[in-house]
Formats: sequence, structure tokens, C-alpha cells
Amino acid sequence: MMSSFALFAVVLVYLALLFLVAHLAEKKKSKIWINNPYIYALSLAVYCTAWTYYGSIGVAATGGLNYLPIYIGPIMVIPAWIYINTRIVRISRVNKISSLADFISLRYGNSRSFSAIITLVCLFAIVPYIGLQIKAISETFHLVTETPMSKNILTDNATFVVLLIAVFSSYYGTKYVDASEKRLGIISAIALESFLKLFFIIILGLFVIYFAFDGFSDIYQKASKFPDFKAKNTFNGIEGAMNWMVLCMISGTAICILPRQFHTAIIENRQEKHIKTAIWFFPLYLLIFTIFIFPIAWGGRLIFEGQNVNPEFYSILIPQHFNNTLITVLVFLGGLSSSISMIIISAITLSIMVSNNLIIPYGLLGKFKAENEVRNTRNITNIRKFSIFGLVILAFGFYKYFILKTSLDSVGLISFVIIAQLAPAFFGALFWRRGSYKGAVIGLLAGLVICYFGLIIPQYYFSYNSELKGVLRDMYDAFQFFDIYFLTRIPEIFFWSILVNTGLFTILSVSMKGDYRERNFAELYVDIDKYIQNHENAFIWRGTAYVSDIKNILERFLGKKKTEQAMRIFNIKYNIDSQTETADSRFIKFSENLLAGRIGTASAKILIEGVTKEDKISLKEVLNILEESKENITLNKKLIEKSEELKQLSNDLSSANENLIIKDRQKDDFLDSVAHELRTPITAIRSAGEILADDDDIPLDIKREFLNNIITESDRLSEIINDILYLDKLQHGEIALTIEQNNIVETYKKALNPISHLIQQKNIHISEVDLLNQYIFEYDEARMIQLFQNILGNALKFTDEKGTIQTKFSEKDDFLIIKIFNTGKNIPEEDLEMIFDKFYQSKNQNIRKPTGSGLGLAISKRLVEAHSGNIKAENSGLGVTFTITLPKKIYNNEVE
Amino acid sequence: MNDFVHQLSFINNHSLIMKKRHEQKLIILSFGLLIAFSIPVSLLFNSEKEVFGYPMILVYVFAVWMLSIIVSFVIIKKYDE
Repeated sequence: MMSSFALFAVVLVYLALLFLVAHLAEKKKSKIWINNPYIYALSLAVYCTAWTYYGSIGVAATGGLNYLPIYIGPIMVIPAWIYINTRIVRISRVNKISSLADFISLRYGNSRSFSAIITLVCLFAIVPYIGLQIKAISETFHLVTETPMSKNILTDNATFVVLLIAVFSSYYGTKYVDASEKRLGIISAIALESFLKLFFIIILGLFVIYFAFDGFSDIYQKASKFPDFKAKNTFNGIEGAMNWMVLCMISGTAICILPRQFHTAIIENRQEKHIKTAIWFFPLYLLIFTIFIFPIAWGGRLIFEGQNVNPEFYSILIPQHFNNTLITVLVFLGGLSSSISMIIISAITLSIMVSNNLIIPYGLLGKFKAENEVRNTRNITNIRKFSIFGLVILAFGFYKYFILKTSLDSVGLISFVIIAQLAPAFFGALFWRRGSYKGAVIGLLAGLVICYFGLIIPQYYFSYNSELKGVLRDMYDAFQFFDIYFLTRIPEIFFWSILVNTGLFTILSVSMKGDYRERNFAELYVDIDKYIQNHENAFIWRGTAYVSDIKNILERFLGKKKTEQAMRIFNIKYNIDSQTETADSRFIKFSENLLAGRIGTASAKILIEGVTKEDKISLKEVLNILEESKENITLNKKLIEKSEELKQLSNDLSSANENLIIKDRQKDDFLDSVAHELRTPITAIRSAGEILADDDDIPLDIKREFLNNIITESDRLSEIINDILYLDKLQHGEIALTIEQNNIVETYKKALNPISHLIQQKNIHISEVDLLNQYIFEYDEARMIQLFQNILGNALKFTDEKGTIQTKFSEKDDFLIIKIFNTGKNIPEEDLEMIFDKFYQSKNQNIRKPTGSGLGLAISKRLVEAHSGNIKAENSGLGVTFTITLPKKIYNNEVE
Repeated sequence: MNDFVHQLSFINNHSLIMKKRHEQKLIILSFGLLIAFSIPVSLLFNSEKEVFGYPMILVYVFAVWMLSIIVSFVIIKKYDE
């Protein structure tokens, strides 16, 4: 038992929490936790209203399986959202659509009257539904506090709760004058509520299953003793299944078209990829919700069997029965969450429709044309604020005077069926080019008439009358013929109304010639993927219009600064000179888009029409132009692809060219070096030869020295020439490696032998460190000996007397690593890479007098590369380390 | 500023969120569910018999439901671009 005051305080705290979340989310828009797809997916759960929370449980306890279609219908449709909703989101984004009415009416020629009709339909369907939520809030409030319902509005706590909700919605729902803007604050609050209502029902479910009863099977065992249990948990034959299926279809369309679903799924979609998360997450959410309905409903029946209680409120009555105030209040808050999230989103989206599709286009456009931006913005948001209050009050009145007697379930389903009347026009907009305005409107009106007489009159007429009278009676008798005996009333009316609606829509559409403007939008809707990049090009308009006139209109709504910014962006996008005076079709569509979010698409069109003069175009012309522009788009795409290919090609060519130039320069350098290298010994030989030839009186020992010089220099010459030829062969892959399994340490020893006397001469200490697990590796032994000798020879040259050379063998992963370290002068850092170049040494003759061909390291590098390894030099401590890395297994044994 | 900049800047956001072929897998799943819950098929499970101790039709409905969640989850995660 809880006092009214305490519960009201709890509600206030809860609402304050929502305000806080909305406030934080508005402030931290870019933060990741706000931008994640689960917020979007959770906000879709605005679908689960008080009807789910209380009504479904009532249905499950009394009507059996009929509680399921409300959830089965959506899950059948949701996977297809990947196609349907993605396209609707795109269409809405490029056209700045801000409500269901805009979406449908824009497709049918941007018609003001159609958007007004849709708005009225939504009002008729949704206002009672909002009333239903208020009813749930009020009834559960009194149930929890165990106070009687108050007849006086001013003393009814529900009144104040509802007013607070209205304040919340009107504050956060109208923050942006552009209604197509995303309302992150509201959506985050809704997502939180969706989470909480699920969480609370899980708590209740667990409470019922494990506290009130002894587990799920206990409930099941006991409940199955009810005589009607079996019947309630099977279809009542083919008739039951038929009803069940039609109900699935009703809710399947509702999940796409209900204004609050359209608002959360389409208008508030920030990223297309969020839809993907929703596709699996939302059915999961519904599944968890639904699983608990069964035990709560049957548990409730077991507890309250024979007592006169409303099964719709089992979820509150059960914890109350066990005197558990905490869970009672949590369940109440869960129900409150589901009610107020529905009220908030519905009120916001309806207020946008009322302002943008009803009040502004039919009353205030003339006034707006004369006002400035500040006043217009204020007026527009005020209209929406008042609409929200008006709607909530209207719904409140509805609850007070009409639906007190009826159940949650029936009012909800009736509103689904009325909304479903929009389905032919809605899905036609997405898939059918030829659907026409007249067909859609007439079909819709006919469907509504059937709903009115079939559902609304019987629902509310009997609130005040006990039986049909007079004309009404005659009429119902006349239509007796159409009674489908195996369907209950709601599926029956759904069937007839949708049949007539769709029939009229399709037949009238194909029997009349289409309108060019309508067809224009039809093409844009159906082929949205083709036009998405430059949708302004897809808008066809011919006539005379001046930029200055349109700009004047824009400024009245956007203000001077924003208008100029927008125009600058437009000019950049389409590469238009800012001095251009006449406006083309693209600019007209662009301007309409700028206004659309503020005053609705139809009003935007009317305003722009007022300052431009359009020439008539025939439908045929429109189709031709569209065909052309479609071709252009594909052609453009192809051109872009081709030019990209060309660009790639020219890049390849220029890089190849650069390589060639480098190669050429290298060749020149190489030739220079070769000439230089060859000249040195030749000069020596020649001068020795000259002296020997000129002077016969040279002493024998000097003569011998000269002759020896000639021999060594000739040897060096042939060494250089051999090396050059060898290197050339290596580079051209003319030397095949004979890869065999060899012992690396033995190979090293073989390489060391011929030079050991040199080492001893210089008194150098040479040592090996062996960290190998295995000794057998694959390589070409002769080349490896050559490699070792080259590196060691190089090391010898640069090691001072009494220095150290240390060779370390190790393994890492699949590589054999050989490090040869020698003490001596460091290599200048910038030269570390260059020492493997041919004749590196010769360019740095100031460092050291050349000995050897200067090709040793270049050859070493080639040899290592031929073994698919690499070699590098680095300065380490007191000397230089050469690191050779070789793969243990060589697959490519050919020299490149 | 925001309200018209994003109108122009969505260009880099236009690419398909999924390949057509994988998109169609989900649409086929949708049709599959339609068939699974349609009259001839769902009536097959409309019996008073019990499976795992629960009414057959309930087990069937929730199993199909669960399966559809798993299938769509797998398709979406596997072909995420």
C-alpha cells in the first residue's frame, strides 16, 4: 500500500530522470554512447505501449493466443527493413521529410490536401490511443495507491502526470524549428524508458515464476488444470488461425506505418547502418517481452481465479497480492514508461503533422510571407508546442468521456486498422511508379468509411446506446451480407477496408493518365538509389524564376546568414556562378528542401510557387528527361570509372618512367664508377710499363718490382672485371643456385680457412657464438662461402690490429640469423644503406684507400637476396654489425 | 548551419549498407517467416500435444522467432561492410 503522495513523488523523480537524460544527450551529441545503434534500436520499442504491458496480459489470460500477433506481425516484416526502411530513410533524407504525412503526400505530387487528409487520419487513429495510455496511467495509479478513481480532473493525479509529459515533449520536441532534425535528447530518454520497461517486466516475470510460484513448470502444471487451458493455447481451428493471421498482418503494417514508429525508425535515424542492428535487436527485445506474458497471465489467473478483477492489471495486482510494494511500484513505473514514451513520440510527430501539414499550409502561409525569420521561427515552434498540449488535452478528454468502458486491446487494434488504411499509398510509394494521387485518396477515403461504420460506430455508439436505432439499423442490416462468419469484427473490417482501399487505388491509378509532377516524385522514390547523389537533378521543373525572389523567401525562414551560407554551398556543389540571376530546377528543389523541414513539403512548394512561374511540361517530356538524366547518371558513373582507370594507368606509367630514369642514372653512375675503377690499375700498369720501356738501365730489383706491380694490378683488373660480370649475371638471374641441405657452421669454417692467415697476420681475435638448435639449412654452399668471405674480408679491412671479429649464429621463427661483428670505425649513419651499393667505397676515397673491387658488399647483398633473405649493417658499440637473415626453407631458388 | 550541410554532405554516406545479395537473404527470411506463420504451415503445429512439456504451437512460434533472430544476426554480422 502506497500513499498517493509518495507515489506521485516517485513519478516526479522518475520524470526528472528523463529530463536529465534528455538534457545530457542534447548536450553531448557527438559522444559515442549517444551515437550507438542500440539507442536507435531501443527507441523503436516505443511500439510496446501500455497495451503490451497490461493489455497483452489480459488477452493472454482471457483470449488465448491472440496476444501473439501484435509481436509476430512485426517480426515477419523486420528483416525486410534492410530494404524497405533503408530506402525510406534515404528518400526522407534527400527530401527533408519530417513526418509520415510528408512522406506519402510528397510522392503523390506534393499535394497539400493529401497531406492534410493523412494528418486527420493519424489524428483519428492516434488520439484515442493516446487517451488509452492516459487511461492506463490513471487506472494503475489508483490501483497502486488503492484509491478510488476521481471524477474531478483537478484532483486526479493522472492529470498532473500528463501535463508534465506535455511540458517535456513540447520542450524537447520543438527544440529545432526544422522538424527533420534529429532530437537526440528525446530519443535517448525513450531508449532509457524502453530499457527500463523491459527490465521491470523481467523482474516481475521472475517474481511471478520463482516467488509466487515454484518455477515455470509449476505455473504450467497448475494452469493446465483449467478447463479452457488447452483451448486457449491452441488455435481455435482454422477460424482461429485465420483471425490470428489477419491480426499478424495488421500489426505487420502497423510497425511500418504507425506515426510513432515512422518517427523513431525513419526521422530519427542518424545512420543507415543502425537499421542493421535494429533488425536483430528489436525482435530479440520483443521476444524477451513476450516470453514473460504467458507466466504472468496464467499466474494471475491462478491467483485471482473466481475474484472479480480485471486481468489487464494482473501485473500490478500480483505483486500487490503478495504485499511487495517495491515490485508493484517498479511495474507501475514500467507501465508508466511505456505509456509516456508512446505519448511523447506520438504527440511530437502528430504536432509536426498538425503544424506542417494542416495549420501552416491552410492558414498561416500568407502571414509567414510577410514576417521576418525570428518571428516565423517563434511562431512555428509555438504552433507545435500548442499542438502538443492540444493533442494531449484532446486525448485526455477522450479518455474521460469515451473509452473508460472499453479495454486496452480493442482501442489499440482499432487504431492499427485505421492507420493500416495508409498502407496501399505508403507501400505503393515505395514500389509502384504508376500509383496516382486520385487513386490513393479515393482508396483511402473508402477504406476509412468502412472503418468508421465497421469499427468506430460500434465501439463508441454503444457507450451511450444499448441497441442500434433507425437509419443506422437499416444500414447495418443491408450490409449483413458482407459478414464473414469465420472472422471476428476487427479482422473482418480490416479485410474489407484494405481490399476496397487497395482495389480502388490500383484500378483508378491504372485507368487514369498520370500527372507529370507525381510521376517525377514516383521515379525519385522508386529509384532512390540512382538519384541519391544528385537528387536535385532528378527534380524536373521548367519556367522562369529569379534567385533574388527565392532568396527573399528563404531569408524569412532561415535568416540572412544561413540563407547565404546555404546558397554558397549550393553554388559550390553544382559549380554555379554566384552572380547567376535566374534559378534553375535544382535551385528550386534545393530551396524547397530548405523550407520543408520547417513548414512541410507542401507549404514549401506553395511558397516557392508563389514567386516563380512554371511552364507546363507533359508527362512524356518528364519521362524523357528522367530517362536521359538516368542515362547521364550511369554514363557519368562509367566516365568516372574510366577516368579513374586512366589515372591509375598514368600513375603506373609515370612511376615506371621514374624507375627507368633512376635506372638510367644508376647505369651512368655505374659506368662512371667502372671507368674510374678500371682506370686506376690501368694507369698503374701503364706508368710501370712506360718506365720499363723508356729506361733500359733500371736496376733488376726495381724492374722486378715494377713487373710485380703490373701483375698485381692486372690481377686486380681481372678481379674487377670478373666481379662486374658476376654481379651482372646475378642481377639478370643467369646464375642458378644449387640449393641443398648443408651444415651452416661447416660452411662457415670452409669460408674462414683461406683467409685465416690474413687474420693471424693482423693479430685479430676471431670467435663464434653458436645458439642454433639445428645445423642443417637449405642454401647454395658455394655462394654462402663467397658471402662469408666477402663480409669477413670487408670486416678484416676495417678492423684495426688486435681487434675482434665475432660471428653469432641464431634462429628466430623461421629464420636463420647470422651476425658478424667487427670492432673498428663506425660507418657514417647516412651511409649505412649505401654501403651495399656498387663501388660505394670508391666514392668515399677520402675515408680509406680502395682495396678490392668495391663490389664485394653489392655482390653479398645480391647473394642474400637470391636466397630470399636480407642483409643490413648497423653501428653497434665499438664497431659494425652485419646481420644476415635467411629463411630456413627456400621456396624460390631462382635468382630474380 | 547543420540542417543544410548534411543535406549536401551525405554523399560520402550513400554507399549501399550491404551487398544486394546479402540484403536479399534478409528479404527471403522475411518471406520465410510469412510462410512459417501462415495458415497451412502454422496449423500443422496446432495440436493439443505437448513438446518438451509445453503446448506445441507455443514451442513452434517461439522457436521460429528465436531462429529468425539468430539468422538475421548471423547475416548482419557476417556481411557487415
